[in-house]
Amino acid sequence: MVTLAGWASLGGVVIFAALAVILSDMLKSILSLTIASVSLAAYFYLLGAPYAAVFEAIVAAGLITVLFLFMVSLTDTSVVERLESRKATLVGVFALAFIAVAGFLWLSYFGELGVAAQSNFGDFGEALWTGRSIDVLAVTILIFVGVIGSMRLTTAGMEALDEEPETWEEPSAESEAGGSAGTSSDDEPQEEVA
Amino acid sequence: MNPSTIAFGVALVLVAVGLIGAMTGRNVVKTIIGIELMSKGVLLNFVAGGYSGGEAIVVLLVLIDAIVVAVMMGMTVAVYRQYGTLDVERLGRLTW
Repeated sequence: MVTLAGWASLGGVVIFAALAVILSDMLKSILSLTIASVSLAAYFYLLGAPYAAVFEAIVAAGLITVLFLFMVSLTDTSVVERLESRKATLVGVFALAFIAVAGFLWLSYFGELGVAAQSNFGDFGEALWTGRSIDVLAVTILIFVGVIGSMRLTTAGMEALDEEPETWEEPSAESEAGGSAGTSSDDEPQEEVA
Repeated sequence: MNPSTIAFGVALVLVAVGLIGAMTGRNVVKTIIGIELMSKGVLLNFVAGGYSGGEAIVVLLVLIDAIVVAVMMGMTVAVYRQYGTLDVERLGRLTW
């Protein structure tokens, strides 16, 4: 049974997902994606899937947000300055979100909202460890591959090519159309070498 | 209307919004956000469908999602260091 809280969660998912795509500010876009994930986690909980809700809230809304912020801060220095200047605001927003989620769970457990999730850990554990044991093994291997791959790719000395290609032009302020020049010059590498 | 039907509709909307974001976003990060939204639509479909063992599949998919984002983050940072931009129009070597 989905209550008013369920419809509000679904509405929040759609609205903030659209905002995440529409907003041009990268920081606001990432925060919208986080709120959409939290709303989706709340809906999972209301549907009676508390383990999926916990994973969605912790991994999708927590870890993936941190990864996105890390990615943007490595590629856009203005975001780092804005994060530094608005640190107190960001902490306040996340603290308020935490209090809101805790209050929601407290109310649901004590029957005020009447939406406490019903789930049987036995069924979940049976499905995960017995029915999906191969998948769990594959995900475990994927985690190691992902960690090693992302560490290798983000290493400071990472270079895609051992030496700079002769046809490649480093992007600069003067050559605004540098991307297209680098692409078109690839067609005739032999002439430039000669 | 059946709540599951509305949840399926929302899942479809999420996939559509994510697809639009991935196809039209000029920044690589926007493309990754679009892919994230599409995966959320798939997760919602699994949970709303109430399939047997669907919750376990969702947990595994969330973990795979995190791995995918981590690897894409590494690729994005490597591309930025190599080319100096995340504008997909200027990264024309890999587009069609």
